[in-house]
Amino acid sequence: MSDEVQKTASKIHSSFTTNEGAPADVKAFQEGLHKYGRANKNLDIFGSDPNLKGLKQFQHQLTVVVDEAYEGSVVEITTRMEITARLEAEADLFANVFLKRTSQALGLKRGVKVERAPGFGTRDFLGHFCQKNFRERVLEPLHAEALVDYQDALAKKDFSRAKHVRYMIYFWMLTTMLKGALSWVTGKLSFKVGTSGD
Amino acid sequence: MNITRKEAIILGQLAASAGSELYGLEMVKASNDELKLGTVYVTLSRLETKGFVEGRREEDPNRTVPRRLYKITGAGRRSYMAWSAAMAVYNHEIGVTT
Repeated sequence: MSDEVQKTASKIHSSFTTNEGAPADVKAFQEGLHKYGRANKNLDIFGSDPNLKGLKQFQHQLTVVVDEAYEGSVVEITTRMEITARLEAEADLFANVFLKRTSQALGLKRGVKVERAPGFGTRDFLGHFCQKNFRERVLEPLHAEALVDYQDALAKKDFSRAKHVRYMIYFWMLTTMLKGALSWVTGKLSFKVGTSGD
Repeated sequence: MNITRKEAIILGQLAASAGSELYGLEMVKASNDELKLGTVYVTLSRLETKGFVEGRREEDPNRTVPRRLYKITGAGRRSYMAWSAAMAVYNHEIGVTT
């Protein structure tokens, strides 16, 4: 692999795996999503073809832009945002296929992958089954605090703790839902018992 | 109105914070494993419903998922003081020193 390709590959690799969803990444993710994913619907790097026809074009564009940009420049950040927005706009599977092919094309030994901060999907999924009040008072703050704990562990490079929190987030959310449901049922029953003698 | 031991721990921490607001994680860390992150929010939500604590969403534009800040209300402070006094009498009666 030539130096030029290797440099590009490492830049692409770092842009996708930085800190596993650290605050800066999440912020860039949101900004990118807002700026490019929703505000600009004309952004069409991949193309809509399910057979990834736009792959080569995107790969070329990405390589040129990232290669020409210097680290921390507006162009590099913008490109990262575009990538993030595209990955969000398309299905995860699509992104993974793209990344796999890119890493293969670039000859990377270790595959690249998109890692988002954990719990967003679970929180949104569980949010469908509970009241708005419960979601705002319990699920969202629990997720927010767990992410703080997770990011704190990453910042301290305590990866075993980060991994533990990453998996515990799902457990905490599920147990919280179950306890919330249990106290809701208990509340209903005690109310009925309390009023049944009237 | 009855309060449970976990509710009392939370109210105690909020009462000791001298009117400043606390996050759930701060309470968990300060509780010496008596509170768990997975359950503290259900308890806090119940305390909010009872009117013993007030919660609000954190307003930090840099944070993707806003946390929730809590502070004790006057009713919460009075309930906690009544609970503490009752527990002190109870412990005294059964001969437990705290």
